[in-house]
Amino acid sequence: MEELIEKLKVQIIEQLNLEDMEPEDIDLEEPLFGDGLGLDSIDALELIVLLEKEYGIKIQNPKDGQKIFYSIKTMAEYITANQK
Amino acid sequence: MTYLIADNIISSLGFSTSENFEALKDGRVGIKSIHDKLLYPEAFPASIVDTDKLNSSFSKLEKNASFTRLEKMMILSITDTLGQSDIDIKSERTGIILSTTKGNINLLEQPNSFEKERVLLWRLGEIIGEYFGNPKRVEVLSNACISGVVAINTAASIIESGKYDNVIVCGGDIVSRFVVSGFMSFLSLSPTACKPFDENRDGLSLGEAAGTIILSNAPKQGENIAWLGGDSANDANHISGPSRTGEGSFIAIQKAMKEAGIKSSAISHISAHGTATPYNDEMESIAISRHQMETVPVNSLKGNWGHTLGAAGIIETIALAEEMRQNTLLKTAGFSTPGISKPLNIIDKTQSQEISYALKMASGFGGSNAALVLKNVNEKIQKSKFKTQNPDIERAAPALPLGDLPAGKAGMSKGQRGQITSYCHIKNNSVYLNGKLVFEDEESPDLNAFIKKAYRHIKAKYAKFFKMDDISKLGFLAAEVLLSNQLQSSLSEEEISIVLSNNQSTLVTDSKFQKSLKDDNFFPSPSVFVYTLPNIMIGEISIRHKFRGANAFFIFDAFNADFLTEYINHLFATQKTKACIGGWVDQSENNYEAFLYWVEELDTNKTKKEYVDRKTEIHAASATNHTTEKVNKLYNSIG
Repeated sequence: MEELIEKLKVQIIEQLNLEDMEPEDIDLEEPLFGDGLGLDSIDALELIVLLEKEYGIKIQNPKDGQKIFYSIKTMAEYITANQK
Repeated sequence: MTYLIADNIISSLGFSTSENFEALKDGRVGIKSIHDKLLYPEAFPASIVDTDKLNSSFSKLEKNASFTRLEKMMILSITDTLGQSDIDIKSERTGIILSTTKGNINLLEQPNSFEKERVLLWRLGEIIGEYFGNPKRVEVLSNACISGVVAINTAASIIESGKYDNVIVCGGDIVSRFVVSGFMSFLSLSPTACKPFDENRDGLSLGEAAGTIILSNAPKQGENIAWLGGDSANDANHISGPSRTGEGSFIAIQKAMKEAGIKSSAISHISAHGTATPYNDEMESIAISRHQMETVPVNSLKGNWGHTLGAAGIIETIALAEEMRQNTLLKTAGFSTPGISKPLNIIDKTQSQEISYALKMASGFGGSNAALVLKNVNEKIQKSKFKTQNPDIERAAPALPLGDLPAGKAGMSKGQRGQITSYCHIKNNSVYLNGKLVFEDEESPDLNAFIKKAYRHIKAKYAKFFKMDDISKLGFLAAEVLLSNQLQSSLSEEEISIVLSNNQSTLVTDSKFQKSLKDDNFFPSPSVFVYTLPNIMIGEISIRHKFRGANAFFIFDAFNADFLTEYINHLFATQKTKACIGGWVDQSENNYEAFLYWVEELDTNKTKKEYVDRKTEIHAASATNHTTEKVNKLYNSIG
């Protein structure tokens, strides 16, 4: 899980162009959207692509995204539970 | 006044306006399930032009088959339209404007089928102009999904300025792997034919079409439909999501009605954009409600044709004009139960009704919105009465007293109407404000590296800067520098417009997106796709500075001071704007260039000196008359 979390942070910074941000800047439980990292609706769509591309997980119902992408922790848990 | 004298629609529902209109009256839906792995790995619903019919129709017209799918559609559409009128397309007094979002984008997948340049939008204009032997440069407008409505408004303004007697407006886009994959990555497509304004609406359907309207300063015999006014506005809110308050759409409608000289109570029918995404339809319902038009019959034809992008504003305006001619309100296919927060009068059954004034709405990516107003001119007009004299032309722009200011050339929009108080160049790894070097960095190997360094140097603070594609960063940064010394402006948000242009549209970003569409590595990126429209940079600048005025993005083969100056002067002349950012922001594989300028409307009560001193003391030395000659001079001032 630790390893996955670190990898996820790097991938998110890279994929969402979070310039000037280092992996250690992202708190494990901090909300990714809204006040937290300040991601928006296009970032949410990009995270869906990231899950599919990097982890082979296809989110069937985009509305589930809100829970899955709440924080790095919830994302990592979802990946662990759903990766084949 | 400007009249709609001939038109054509090429779509899944037919190859003429009458074929299409009959199909719409019958409630036919052109959206079908498409199984074509070249377009998308899975089946998806879309409204597609029949390829066999397209090729056989085209071969009857032209033996030379070396035209792209879109070119064939546009040529057929224009040819049919010309056949209905006696205007001369080879005349110096006839202009052509094309409206498209992605043009021949399918050529990115088939790089060897045509010359490399063929994918560029200005080249599409050239091909069409050469085919018909039109002596003038064909103008190409690419402003996302409002392109069609803005192209019609532009054509009307060119006619009212007296430059041309007739303008042929042709809009077209095709259903391509590029566009289908992009909208799929946005999760915007409905799994079935779309359902505008319905409670179960779940996204849009794509469609392809070409449509042509001839606008003229002379009416045709019999009844006429006239264009009375039109404008665009930006939400200044988000680059892909529409405003929750319908702000831009509300302003665009307000300005269109102001130019038309009518109040919302005069409108008897609205053709909405109605894409059937949850947010768009809700936003439009708010904009309509804010104008107290909740009881006015509204329809969307996206349920029949799908969203035809650059053609949408054209073919939907043609259908609207036909509804007015035939006293018919077309139903909204796919709609059954209202699913919007405002109680709109969505037409659910095709019915008869006289329509005196009608409104067309459009909205699109980049926060862009547009509207136009049509009038049913009931009086039967004797043709001989017109042609040369048209007193209505005076209406749009009263002669401007120029005081002690240089008058410039004669003509409504040609004269000196504005003052450039600031300008910015970014090229050759250098940034200049008013001709003075602000920053340079010879070491940056490319635009991406340079523009980030320049951003840090000027200490701009804007979290979303790094999310932009490189050409938007370039345009955004040029605007930051341009506006950095502006004194507090007394202008209101909707009085500030942005009119930009370039050669390549967004080809560098398009190629990046295309690379994500390989069969064995198919992961289209929504955050790349959204930037594959040139007007997104207008959206970014609008959001940053809260500018909500008119928007337009033109694609030229080279910087065209003449067209931009006339366009902006016409915005001043018709009281649509008080200030405007104009310019050129271009990026090719190996080069880039930005040139932006800030032009304010002349205040004729002031002498030139007072005007400059009052507005922008800092720029007094660089204030320049807004004329083609001066704009060219400024553009060329940095080698």
